[in-house]
Amino acid sequence: MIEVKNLWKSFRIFRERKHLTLLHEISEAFTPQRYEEFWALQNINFHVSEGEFFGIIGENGSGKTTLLKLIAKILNPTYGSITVNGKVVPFLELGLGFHDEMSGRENVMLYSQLLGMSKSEIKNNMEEITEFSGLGDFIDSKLNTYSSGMKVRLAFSTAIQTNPDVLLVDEVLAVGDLKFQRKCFDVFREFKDKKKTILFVSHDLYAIKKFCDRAMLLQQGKQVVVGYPDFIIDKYFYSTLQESSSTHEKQALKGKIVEFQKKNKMPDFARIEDLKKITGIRWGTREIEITKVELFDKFGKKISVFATGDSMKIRIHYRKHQEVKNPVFGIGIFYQNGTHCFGTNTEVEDYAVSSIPEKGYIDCIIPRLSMWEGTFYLNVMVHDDKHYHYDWHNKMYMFNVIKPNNYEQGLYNLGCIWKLSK
Amino acid sequence: MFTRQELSLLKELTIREFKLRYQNSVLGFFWSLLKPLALFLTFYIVFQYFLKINVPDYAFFLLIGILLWNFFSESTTAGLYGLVSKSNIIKKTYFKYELCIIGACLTAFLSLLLNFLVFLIFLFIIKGFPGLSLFYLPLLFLEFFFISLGLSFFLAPLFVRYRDIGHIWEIMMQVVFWITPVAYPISFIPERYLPYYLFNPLANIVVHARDSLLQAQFPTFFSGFVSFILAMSILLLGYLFYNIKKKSIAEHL
Repeated sequence: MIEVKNLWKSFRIFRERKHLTLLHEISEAFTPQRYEEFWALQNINFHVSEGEFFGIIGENGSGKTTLLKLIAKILNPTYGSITVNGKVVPFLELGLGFHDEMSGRENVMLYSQLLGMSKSEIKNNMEEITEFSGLGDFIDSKLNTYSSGMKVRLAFSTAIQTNPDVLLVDEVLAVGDLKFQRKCFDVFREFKDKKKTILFVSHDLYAIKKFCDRAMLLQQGKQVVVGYPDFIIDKYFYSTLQESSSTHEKQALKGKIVEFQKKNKMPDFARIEDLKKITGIRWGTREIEITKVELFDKFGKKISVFATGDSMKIRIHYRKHQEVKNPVFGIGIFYQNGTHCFGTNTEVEDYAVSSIPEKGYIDCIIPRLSMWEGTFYLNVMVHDDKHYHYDWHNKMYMFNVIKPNNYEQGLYNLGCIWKLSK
Repeated sequence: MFTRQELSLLKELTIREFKLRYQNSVLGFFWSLLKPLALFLTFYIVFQYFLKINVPDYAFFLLIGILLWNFFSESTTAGLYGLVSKSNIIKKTYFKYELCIIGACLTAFLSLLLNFLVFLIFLFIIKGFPGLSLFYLPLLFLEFFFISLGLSFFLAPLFVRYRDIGHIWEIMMQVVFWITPVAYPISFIPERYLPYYLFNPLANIVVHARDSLLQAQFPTFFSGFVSFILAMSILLLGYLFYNIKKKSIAEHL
């Protein structure tokens, strides 16, 4: 059981002193050091009961590792209290700093004793540790012959053999290969069955979703929310999207857009194919003008970063300057390298737009973005049914797609369903 | 004070340190004998032949001083770096960090014991059994260990915060070497300064060691008692100081 109450932790960040002359240095030595107080954790309150699998997510520098270090008693809280029942075994920052000049076996001996095991216990467990780490004969080689992945595997294998009541895991999945990750998952499952408490820090949202009973989101040292993993992950994922979206917007194509020829003129049909290859170009006769294009995510938030599998709404604002018949609105989506992903328009989809008001917008809703990840260009256009272009915005808009997990591969998520014959 | 498990960890830390020290060197453990021996030869030549010092059994006299000095220098230096050199484990697990400091001093202590073993063999062969006062030696070593450990308890946490301590201690060692009767007898010190001179706990240790090994003489009860109390207070004060500082060690490393 872990009980964290009103926890605050500050670090002092000392400003670099300038040593100009010896005299200056001596006089500086007698002035108190100037420092800034940095609050790494602010008012953290949570409770993890026995046998619970508790996830902690947050961006780099949000205080996750500091929190684990406080629970492991490596650091002391500035204010507040932490109560832990049972033996805590930390696995922090990719395990222990091993000694390179000693063999894997010797390192395991030392590490296990640091984690509170007796020598006889270690001897009994040595075989299992070797096996789990998958090191084989390497166990008796000096550690400086190991790869970084091997070191982490060895450290984690040792940590789990120490039979902890509370295991603190910081990013173990990030370095191991797939085979090792799978083994880790097995261990987590086993620990869960044995009713052990695990605090789990990971950027792997899929793992959090899969194993954690509850999770907590940290942002800049503050506890944003504690709750069911699905809810927390959504919160985290979309908070990061929003942030990257705002930075993304800045580097969008604004200001780089080229107007082809004079307004209100249609380029030769022969040239259009060439023009379509150019990023950020616009042409057309403007009987109908596209005034603005907006993208919305599944929450209806204006954004330019989306998650695979989410819906996207493209809102095309227009203004009619001249009466036209049967206008056709269309979109086109391109990979950054120019590959045409998808294109459609109201005519193809049999959505008849016979007449439109003076001013308004039309929405194109993509229920499920199936591409995995990447930066995409968006074409938006309006033309008549004989491909006479009123307004063509060629690759003038950009959006990003981010995949929420790392397990499936390829360009698209085709959304498979598996069925075993009975 | 420590659980069985912690004692076994201490053993592991000490032995590992000892092993690592002589790993990858051809002469291995012999270096721990050769280093004081080289120092000994230099001083022996300078003092015996150039300065014509008049001390009976000067070779043994000097060797005792050098071996003890060598321990003091090695143990406090290792103790000073005891926490910083183990930062990789201190930052990632919680255990009694003082074990690192004790382990560092113990490693040096192990060298001292082995050095003295060799020394005693030579002493027996050349001079014969030094007398019952030989059995005072273990107590003396214990005192000396306490002094070194007590100082290390001061130095190690300070060094974590102020790296200047490393340089300061280096200078201190030079000073202490010459205000301790390592190369010369205590009779060289003017009478009126002697009480102050003996404030240096090392001076007592060296004098007592020589008395018991070369003169078959136990120290006087008073002198032995004072020296023991001095050693114990250094250890206690050091440990108290360490306990005040220990909370912030991992943070500042």
